[in-house]
Amino acid sequence: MKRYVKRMLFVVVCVTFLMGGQATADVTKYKVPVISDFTGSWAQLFKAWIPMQKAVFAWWNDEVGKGLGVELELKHYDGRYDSSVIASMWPGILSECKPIIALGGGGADVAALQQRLPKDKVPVIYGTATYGYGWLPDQWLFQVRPTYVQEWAAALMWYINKHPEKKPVKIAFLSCQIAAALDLVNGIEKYTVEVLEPKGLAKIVAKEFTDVNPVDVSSQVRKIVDAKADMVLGIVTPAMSSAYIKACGLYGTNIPTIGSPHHTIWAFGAAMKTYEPFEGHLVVAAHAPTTDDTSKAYGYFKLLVDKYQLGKDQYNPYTMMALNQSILAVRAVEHAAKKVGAKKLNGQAVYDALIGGPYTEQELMYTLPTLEFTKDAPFCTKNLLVAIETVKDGKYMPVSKEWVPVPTDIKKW
Amino acid sequence: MTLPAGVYAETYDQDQALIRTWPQWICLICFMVLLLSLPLYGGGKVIGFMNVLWITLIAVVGLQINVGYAGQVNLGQSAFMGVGAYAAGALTLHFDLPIWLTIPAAGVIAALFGALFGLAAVRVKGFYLALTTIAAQYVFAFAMLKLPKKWFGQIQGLRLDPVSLLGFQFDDDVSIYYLVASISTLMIYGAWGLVRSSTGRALVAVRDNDKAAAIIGINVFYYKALSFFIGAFYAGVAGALWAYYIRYVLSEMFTLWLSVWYLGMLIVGGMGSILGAIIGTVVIRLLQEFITYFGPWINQISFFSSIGGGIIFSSMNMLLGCVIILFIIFEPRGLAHRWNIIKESYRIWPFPH
Repeated sequence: MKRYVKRMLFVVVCVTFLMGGQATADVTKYKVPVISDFTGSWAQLFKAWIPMQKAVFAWWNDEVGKGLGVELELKHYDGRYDSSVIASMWPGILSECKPIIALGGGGADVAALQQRLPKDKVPVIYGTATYGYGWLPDQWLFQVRPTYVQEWAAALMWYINKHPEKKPVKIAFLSCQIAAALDLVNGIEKYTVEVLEPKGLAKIVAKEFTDVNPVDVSSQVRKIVDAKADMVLGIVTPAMSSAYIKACGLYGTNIPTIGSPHHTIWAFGAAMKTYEPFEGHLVVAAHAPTTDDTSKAYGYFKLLVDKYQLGKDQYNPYTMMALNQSILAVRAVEHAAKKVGAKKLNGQAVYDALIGGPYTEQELMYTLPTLEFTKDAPFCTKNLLVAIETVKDGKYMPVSKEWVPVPTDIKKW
Repeated sequence: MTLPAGVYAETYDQDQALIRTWPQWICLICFMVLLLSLPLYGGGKVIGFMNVLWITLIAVVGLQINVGYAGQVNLGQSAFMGVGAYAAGALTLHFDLPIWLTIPAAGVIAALFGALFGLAAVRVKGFYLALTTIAAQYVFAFAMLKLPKKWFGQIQGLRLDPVSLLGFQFDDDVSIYYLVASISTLMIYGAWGLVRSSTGRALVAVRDNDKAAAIIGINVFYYKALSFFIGAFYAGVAGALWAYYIRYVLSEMFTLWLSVWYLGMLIVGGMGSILGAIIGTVVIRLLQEFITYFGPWINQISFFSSIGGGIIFSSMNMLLGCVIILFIIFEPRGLAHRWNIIKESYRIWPFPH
């Protein structure tokens, strides 16, 4: 009897081992490096990204990867949002992960890696908007959103169309002298001067600069008020935004701004627990609005909350960037795996799949409009759509349930 | 410096030699072989780390000549490095010059920029000089964003293709390793020679007491400006190598914060010693690597997560600050001094040091 039990146990162990071996043999694992920031200046932001990235990848592994025989494993690296750190660690990432795709953080890793990626053959996906100086052909960087200028121009046009009585809309810039902000000012300025002004739609009346994180911008806002501006553009940090609102209060005015969701209304509201000072202001991004909890994108987020331990408060403009880059990354791998097979995936195959697109809104779980990449730019250049949000009666909400088109007459600046 | 028992110089050349004994030669050769063969067994992580280390070493050794030997406060080394990077990039892009010409040219251009700010050192000292060199940082960033786009690309920066020398292309980490390692070795050797020369002694005299130095006939004005010229030359060469490694040059890569790290490296390694600059750079780079490695792990700790990422960032900067303060209090002469004590203790063993 004892011998019989032992034999049975042996058989059970062998069968389990073989079955386990069989199961793992059917799935090919790929490591996906994520250039993050745990100890640098953006640690607070990236901390919020990680659960979202993990949830999307876990969802994809369960729902799609298993069927394809692919498992994607995220590996986070601390780039400290510092080009020298990222440049130093990237060769190690290549040898450790042999990545077929990577998730990027922002400008620091773009600067450190942009030139070498075509040789390394690793496509890197970004969830942020792009700058004019990144508008280059044959890139291995892929941005889910177009340039800030394109996004802001869409909001500006929407505002002009909603307020025909204000034509030409008087634009003022309040920005700072860092490369990213200057790029934005230059792009909007060129578009206004070359396209909008000749048509009598808008004109620039003031251009003021301040620090990146100013305490007081009252003298700059005084000039903007004196110039009778209808709209202020160029605010790129929550600190600028809050200083602007304070200065507006000083002069008893409230000139609306156009900004990115994570720079102005949401960031301010999260800190002050009120959106009222931003009544009538606009934020714009080429991803689903985070203020609409009836959207299909929110439905997908709910699924992640229910099944993948994501916090309920994780649906905001910050985490939306992580959600977007993750969903495009997994779909790109999916396209590539369907084409070359799970075992033959490599960076080139994923790159070809990204260029080969398109990625429909449905595939992207309605968090992004349909994306179609070409070799002309690191972002989509055709059929660009954005979502605009505003504050109405103290409530932060989308201006429309539909996507808003980006003007097609924006030229490189 | 204490020498092993029985080792003494019989000629002037022997007295001047950097390497005096055959065990020293063996150690040096073994070390060089180790460095040369590193790409064979080091792996990507090590090579990536070493490439940035070599480049940083050049900038920090230059800063050592300027700060440690000549006693001039310099918080603009990062800007001088940036000038070198832009100069090398522009010379390569616009004039298609070979790197054997662009790297020294980048050094000279950065040196002239550095000497310009160094001229202030004739009139001001200490905090005032520090502020002058901080101004270099801002002038550099502003100039790169405002000078004609054709020159330095303004906000677009400069993008470079891989460079080559004698038909050999530097387009991957290993080839770049050999380029930066060889130039760093040359620059460090040059620095060692310089500080042992009459120029080096004049710099030390100016550092120790510029009035006394002037009385004994040293041209203080010349040597102060020269120290900035040399320090910035080193930074310019480092910048050029950075440009050829990353192949993208943007003013925002060269921040004031980087200059502060470089000064931290000098304090930890030891002021007034080339070996100190080397040790300090290696130790601080390893510390940075440690922070980077444990960053994701630290973030997982609920205590840190609950109080936010900002505190982690602050903690890491505080760590650097603490390291510097601890060295100033307990070992103001840096790790190089500690190393010399260990060496001398070994040489005179079994007698107590």
